Amino acid sequence: MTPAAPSSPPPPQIAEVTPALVVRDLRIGTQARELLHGIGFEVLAGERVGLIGESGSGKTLTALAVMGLLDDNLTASGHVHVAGERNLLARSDLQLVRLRGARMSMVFQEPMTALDPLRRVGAQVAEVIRLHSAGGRAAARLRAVELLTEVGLPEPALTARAYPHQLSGGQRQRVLIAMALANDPALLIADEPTTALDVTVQARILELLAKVVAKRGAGLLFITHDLALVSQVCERVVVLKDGVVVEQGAVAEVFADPQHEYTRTLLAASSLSPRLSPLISATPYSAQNADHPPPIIRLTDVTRRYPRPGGRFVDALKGISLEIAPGERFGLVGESGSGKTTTLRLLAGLDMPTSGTVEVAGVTLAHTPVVELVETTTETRPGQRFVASAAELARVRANLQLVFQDPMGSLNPRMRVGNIVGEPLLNPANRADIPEATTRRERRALVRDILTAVGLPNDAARRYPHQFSGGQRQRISIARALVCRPKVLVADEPVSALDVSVRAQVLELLARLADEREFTLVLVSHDLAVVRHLCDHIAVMRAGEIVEHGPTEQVWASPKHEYTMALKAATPTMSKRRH
Amino acid sequence: MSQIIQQPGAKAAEGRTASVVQPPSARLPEAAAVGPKRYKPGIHPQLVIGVVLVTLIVAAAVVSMFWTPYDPLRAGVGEPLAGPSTTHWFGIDRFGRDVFSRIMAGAQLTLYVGVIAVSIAAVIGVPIGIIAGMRRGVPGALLMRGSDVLLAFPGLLLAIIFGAAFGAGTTTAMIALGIGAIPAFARVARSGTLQVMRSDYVLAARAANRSSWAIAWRHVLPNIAGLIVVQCSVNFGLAVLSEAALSFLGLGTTPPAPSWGRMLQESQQFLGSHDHLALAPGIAIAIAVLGFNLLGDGLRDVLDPRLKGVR
Repeated sequence: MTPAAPSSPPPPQIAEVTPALVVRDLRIGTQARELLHGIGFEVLAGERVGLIGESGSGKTLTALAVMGLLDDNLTASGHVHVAGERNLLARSDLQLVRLRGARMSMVFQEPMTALDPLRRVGAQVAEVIRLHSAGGRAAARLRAVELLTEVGLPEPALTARAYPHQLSGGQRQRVLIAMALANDPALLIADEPTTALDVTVQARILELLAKVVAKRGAGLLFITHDLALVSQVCERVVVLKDGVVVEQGAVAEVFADPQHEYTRTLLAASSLSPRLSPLISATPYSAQNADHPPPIIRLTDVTRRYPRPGGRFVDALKGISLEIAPGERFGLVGESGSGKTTTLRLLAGLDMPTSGTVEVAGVTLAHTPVVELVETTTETRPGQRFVASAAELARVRANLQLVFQDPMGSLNPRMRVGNIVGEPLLNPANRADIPEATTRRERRALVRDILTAVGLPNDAARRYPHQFSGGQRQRISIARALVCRPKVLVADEPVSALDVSVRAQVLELLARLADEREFTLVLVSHDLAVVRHLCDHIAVMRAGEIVEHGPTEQVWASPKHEYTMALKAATPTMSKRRH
Repeated sequence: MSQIIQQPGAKAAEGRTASVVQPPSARLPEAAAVGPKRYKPGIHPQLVIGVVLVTLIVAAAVVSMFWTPYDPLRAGVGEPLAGPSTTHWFGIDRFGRDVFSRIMAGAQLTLYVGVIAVSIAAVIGVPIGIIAGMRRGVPGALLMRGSDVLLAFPGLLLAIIFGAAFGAGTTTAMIALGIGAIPAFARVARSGTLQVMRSDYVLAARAANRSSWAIAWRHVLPNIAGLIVVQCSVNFGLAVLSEAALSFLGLGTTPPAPSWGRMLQESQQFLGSHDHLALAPGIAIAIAVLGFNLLGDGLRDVLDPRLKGVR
């Protein structure tokens, strides 16, 4: 389970062998400006090198340049040598085609879109083999199954006949790795290969990558924004910032003694230490305590069943019960499909439980089944829906607000930020407790205040969402959620789409606001480290059930359920690899 | 690719990491740091051409209300079937009427038909589409099946039926064309609405307990506006063509009112001998249709704040 790579150092004679990749003075630019300012590094054969940087630092551009896949409106100059070949940048596309896949190959970030949805995965692997070897169709097919075996897919012969959508995310990524390895390339580039995967799956994929590369003596260029991953997978690290290599060296040295300030900042941002709320640590919550305030959120035996075509059902929630005290910072951890998003939708009154009760801020949303027609994309059929009165929902929603994962998709691109943030105030029910929000001018002042509180510039209200970076957009989301002073803030993976350094800032902001404004924070995340950093209580969800819950430090220090242990072991941390 | 490129500028704005070696890009002014834009701010060639062509038509229509070189209805202003000359730019038709004057006056009718037909279709079709997209289930299904029934009738057939029932005429024609275009608008609006309704910002608005009306007005409509503008421009072109076709068939504008379509029909028997009679209304129709299509495409891009240059 531990993804730690084989830790044997590369044999000393490796330096005499041709390096897998040499990049010298690589410059990439558009006509308007230069994006990559003459970077240089090497990947020796059998060496695992991490290329680290935030979005926009140029790490993906570097990978595309090595693969010869740069966009047409970009120009590249400098030297790129793969396995002793002549400079790749000086070659025509036709010459590159013969090298691509044979000498260097790439594993992409999103395994669903990188595979052709209409072809069997075995055929896709075989195609790569046949492109570069003279062997026949049957031989390629056999080899494809061999490769699928090597990347650890169960029942490889059967899997080869599956379509991409029939495989899980981790399995698809294994297929992509098989394709990349098909022709024994000297260099394997992995561009954020695990960002789209669950934590426990990520650990296994990283293990696999390290294993296959070591077995073949190929060089691995591992691109990521996550230092913890680099520390686990790689031997050397190249730190890229704004198109410049600011630092490179052995992982142990760079991480132990970073020379450049940016590396130090990144390192500081990467290690999320637990940060306890002063409110809670002062008065520990216990259910037995009679004079304690009643919980602000209470779920009692809640189930949610989604009908599927053909009369089948999917149980997203299998009867969960939960209590969250006012002022608590509650973390809900789980992987995709665990039911954490369903829970969140139930809390916000955006979805209705099939059975059980949801109680938020004193409003009980009782279950009243009503049969009605529900139209899906394929059919119209009777379904069950829970109905709460409009007034009840209004009270829940005035007291509970949401922050979403995707910083771009959660803001209306056609509205100015001031209008986006001020929108909840337009609803009279939401501003019932805020006397100073009746006139337009007062509301505008409230928007200005909250934008300042989340650390956005003064002119932010007049601008459009696309003019802000991911972290700033997440601040806008937080401002919108807090503008009508809710008692509960539910944040759904608020930092998983953000860069490491920005991630820490947004978490810090959430914690500070929770203290200042005394709201209850419910943080939903797949990342145990993020939850541990911010929350004082944790519930771990798996397959629609809460498998463990309690105070953060107790769950973290001595997990009782085996799934929590697996999750903790798989969570990448900087401290795990010490040589 | 453009996404990757745009990030550095955005990141420079976040700029909360400790100060580091300044790469050359950081010293550029902020506007330049946003990265290359495929859509250059300012001149949009399609829009400019579209505006020029549409302005030409509108100007002809407006001027013809007050002045035309000759009375477009008066016969015998020149030798019948005479070709273009300095006194009669586009020549003379078989009744001795000035073709240039008739083209100018015909622009009025063309705009009138296009604007009214598209307005009818958009004003009825877009709300139907939005309602169907937001209220799935029975009401949405009923609305869409209803519009599917309408879609099964070709617009021209509908116009012919209307013409037979209520008498041929420009007004009948454009109402029929408008009604015939409702399903197209409803479909476009519905598919756009479905997409917008899946977005997180609608979820956020719902979580803020905004009414369906507010969500439709503030979130759905602005985000499908681009689709609708394009649909308007395409349908404007179609309406102009259909009016011409109906007039050509004798079901649209009644003589002697100047209509480009009717002029085209009247020129039919002189094709080969007096081509100018077909050429003038033909080119006029082409300019109108092309102009409105380009205008629609251009407007869609210009109205989208995401494609605008940063500040």
